[in-house]
Amino acid sequence: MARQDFDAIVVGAGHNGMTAAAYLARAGKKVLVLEARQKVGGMATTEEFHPGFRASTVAQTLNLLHPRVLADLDLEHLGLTWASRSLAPLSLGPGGPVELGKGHDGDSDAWRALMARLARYAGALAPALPKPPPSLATDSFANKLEFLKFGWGLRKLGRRDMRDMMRIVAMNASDLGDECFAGDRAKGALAFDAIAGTRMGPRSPGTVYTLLYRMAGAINGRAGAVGLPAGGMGAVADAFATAARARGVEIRTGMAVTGILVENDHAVGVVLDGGDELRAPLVLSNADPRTTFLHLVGPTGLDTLFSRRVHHWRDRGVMARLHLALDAKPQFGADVENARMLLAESRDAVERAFDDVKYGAPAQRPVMEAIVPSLADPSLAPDGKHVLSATVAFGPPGLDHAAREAFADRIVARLAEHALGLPDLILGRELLLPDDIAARYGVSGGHWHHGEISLDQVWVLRQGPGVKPYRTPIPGLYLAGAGAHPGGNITGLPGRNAALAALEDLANQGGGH
Amino acid sequence: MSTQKAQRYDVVVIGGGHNGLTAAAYLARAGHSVCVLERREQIGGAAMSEELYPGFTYSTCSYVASLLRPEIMRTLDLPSHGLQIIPYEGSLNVLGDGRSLASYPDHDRNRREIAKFSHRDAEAYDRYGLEIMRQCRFIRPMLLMTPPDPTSLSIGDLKDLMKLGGMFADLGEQRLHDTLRFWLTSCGDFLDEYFESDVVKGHLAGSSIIGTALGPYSPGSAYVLLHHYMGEVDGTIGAWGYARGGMGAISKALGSAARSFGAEIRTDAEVETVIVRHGRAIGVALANGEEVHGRTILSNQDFRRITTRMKWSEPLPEDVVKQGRDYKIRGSSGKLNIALDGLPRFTGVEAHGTPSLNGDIHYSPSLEYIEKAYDDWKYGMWSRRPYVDVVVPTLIDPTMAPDGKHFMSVFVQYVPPTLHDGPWTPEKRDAFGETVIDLLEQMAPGIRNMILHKQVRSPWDIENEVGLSEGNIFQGELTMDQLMFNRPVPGMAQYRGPIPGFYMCGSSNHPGGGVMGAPGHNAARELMADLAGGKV
Repeated sequence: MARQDFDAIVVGAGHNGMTAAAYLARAGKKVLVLEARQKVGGMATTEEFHPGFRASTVAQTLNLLHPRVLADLDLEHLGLTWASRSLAPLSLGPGGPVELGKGHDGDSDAWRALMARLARYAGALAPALPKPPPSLATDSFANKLEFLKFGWGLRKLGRRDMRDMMRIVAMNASDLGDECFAGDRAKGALAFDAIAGTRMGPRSPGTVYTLLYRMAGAINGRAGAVGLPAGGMGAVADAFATAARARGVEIRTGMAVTGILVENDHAVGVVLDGGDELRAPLVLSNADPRTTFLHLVGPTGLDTLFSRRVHHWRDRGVMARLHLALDAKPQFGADVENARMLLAESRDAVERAFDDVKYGAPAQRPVMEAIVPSLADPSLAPDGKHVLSATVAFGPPGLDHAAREAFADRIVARLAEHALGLPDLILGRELLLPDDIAARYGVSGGHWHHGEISLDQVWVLRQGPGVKPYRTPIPGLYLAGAGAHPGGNITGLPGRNAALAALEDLANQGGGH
Repeated sequence: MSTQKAQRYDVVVIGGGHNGLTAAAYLARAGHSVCVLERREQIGGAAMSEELYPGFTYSTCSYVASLLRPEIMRTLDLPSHGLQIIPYEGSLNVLGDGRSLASYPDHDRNRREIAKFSHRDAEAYDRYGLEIMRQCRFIRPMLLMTPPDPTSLSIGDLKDLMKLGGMFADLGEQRLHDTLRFWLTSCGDFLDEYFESDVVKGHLAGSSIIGTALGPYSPGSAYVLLHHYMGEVDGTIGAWGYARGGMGAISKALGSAARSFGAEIRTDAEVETVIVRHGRAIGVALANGEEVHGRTILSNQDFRRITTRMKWSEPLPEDVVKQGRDYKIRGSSGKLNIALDGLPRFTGVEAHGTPSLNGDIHYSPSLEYIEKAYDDWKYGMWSRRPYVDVVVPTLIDPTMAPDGKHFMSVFVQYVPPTLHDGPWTPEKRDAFGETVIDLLEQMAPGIRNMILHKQVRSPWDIENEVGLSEGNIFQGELTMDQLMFNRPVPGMAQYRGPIPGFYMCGSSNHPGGGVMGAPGHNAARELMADLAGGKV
């Protein structure tokens, strides 16, 4: 019998990896987390991008962190504090800023009505997020019961809402906007919110689902709220790390895993950069499915059908992030401290940006969500100075230096349309395109969600057929990242559920002996 | 209003399209008194043959008989009413540069053709064919089913829902997984999983976008593939084929069958108003003021037209009208009907003896080509480089043109119902026609000079002539938000319309468009059940 170093090894100290480790440790397991980078958090991180200026480089806002994880890990006592508990959508466009859903002119009433309607449907989906999806092998009674329960949850909406939800969940954001709004601004904002993080345009069917997914969370009971953590997302990651360590988890940074050891068809440990091996009966991967299966396990360890599925897993990231170090507060003609500014003046503006990236080009006229987090959280910049961070659609991988610079210039120019003099305030900037995100954080395609959140890749379809949720075809290996249900964003759910799945399997093995 | 006593039927059918005629035939066959009212001088709606140029029969709108349900063909004995479907074989992608890709019913020839572009794809085609075949087999029993209402607690609906759930469960895990993904994914992503060659993918993708306002990379477009493949696997009637004498022959046969069972069919009878008394539909008023009364009214019109264009003597509830306005029925296709002086020579294709010219011919070099054609449509332009689906039925049906001459149908995707710079005008229509002929000229040099006559039709023309809202050939988009129990809208997916006594049998209803007859067949069944159960 080979030497066992640990009860469980977690590959990657993203927030899900640390969550998984914490849950395993809580059950008395000796757990090691290995992180290739020098710091924990993965894409949930705060980093200095210009001397004295820090930004949440990839993940920016918190909206889906599950209350169960929050409570189980006691994160709010371990350093998770809010700079803003609710960022309001503010549309920037011709004619000045428009606070969506405020007042009674234009589409304000319609915006509030739609958000309330979507919140009800998101609320019906919400119970499905923390639960492992039922298996499509529907022969077991427990499974059938899960489907019936899900159906019952929808029924509880009432007949009228249920009918409406059945229809719009498969619709596209463009059509929904046309049904609800008269003006371009509300349609554009809805379109952007629906496509953010995905490789889809407003006219792609199913984009309403991505919107519902994003709205299925709550902050302090406020459904669909979007919050800003104090200290940036790195502070959240640190809280996760503290929670894990407090339960006895060992986290080693600067240690890259280059392979997952498989012996007799079982995962038995990992291989480190340099060739050292560490062994444990449980290996949980916080890496995305492509990295986990095709790179760490390798296609020779998998059956053809499964590896073909992973090969065709859609994880081509096309979202970019831009961070600006500003010498002074930017003037957007509105109070933007608790706002997320949407630069998407119409549905077609978003669609055209998507058209460009479909054919591999960066958007000629990018659309984006921009935030000035330093207004609510001065810790991010030197006194009197500010940080602006934008989530930009769409930027493809593979751009050369000149194309990158030109793209960054176009993003700045778009912002400057609404904040005169902004270019003169810029002390430094950092553009992160999907290949930067891929290289820096080790995520395939630079896709934040480890794979598209579209109807054909969510819930029962997020895992491969023949594989139970969070398990893999290799016993002992678990998928604990956003590639598992429910998907991306800072939720803690894939990590938690993967740990619970591993513990359940251990208990079953123990019972069998 | 007329003072004479209106005639009263069991069923008054608004519109003599193929679904209205199918329903009428089934209803009359069961002994009900039926009257079909058709606005135009000829029955058939979009399945119509017309002589628009001396000696030439045009299939003016619909141009291939691919999907007509064999059950309907048999039950109504359409062959004895003169319908003959002539199977054609193959499909040809002409690239204009001397290269071409053809498909045939012959497996080995198919492989050789695909191997011209990629050996790997030739291997993959077997897997692809198997998967498509499976998907078709799975969906076929659903075509003649009334979709259960998932929001209903009635015994019947729950039973049907369980039955449907059972059909899915019986697939087993792997197949169920593949099926759900197939229904939700894009045609482009689906094809990418099998093939590497752009030409092969472009060749296959056409079926996913014909008639729909989706691009090949829009999620949900893989499902649309089925709407064009369902006929192909149905060996019993040689499902891809031409109706001898043009598509109007199908309508004529259906009309003849309906009449033989006692149905009355009136043309030049435009229904203007649905007469409603105490919330029930009790009859219709024609444009000339005449009233025709019925225990039930069955409309072949599309859902948008029923709810927003039809007059109702008691107005429909506001939320129903809103549902009709929001119903996705996008005009996305145009058509050229052309009389040719001879057979054009397609680049790289032998003039005669090449069986592939007998099938449909397209220009479809890649998925990207089609996706870009779609991009134009989104912004209110006809595709500058469109996708065309060309057929020359006169190669196998010589009845449609004089000797040595040919009728050519050119279906064009994408064409918007209104243009970004305003409505259609005759000048814009001409310009659109020229765009298409330029492309045809590239596929078959010299064709321009062979044109004896042409008819160019935008979605606007199709709406005006046939009455299809926005000129949408499927009476509504075939996307998941409008399929099965969502078609046309949740709560009205069982062929029963917005008020009691009013039924719907057009392609706006499950299972959707194509000259299939299934909505008409299913609506007749539901209506008869209500008549028998004393519900109306």
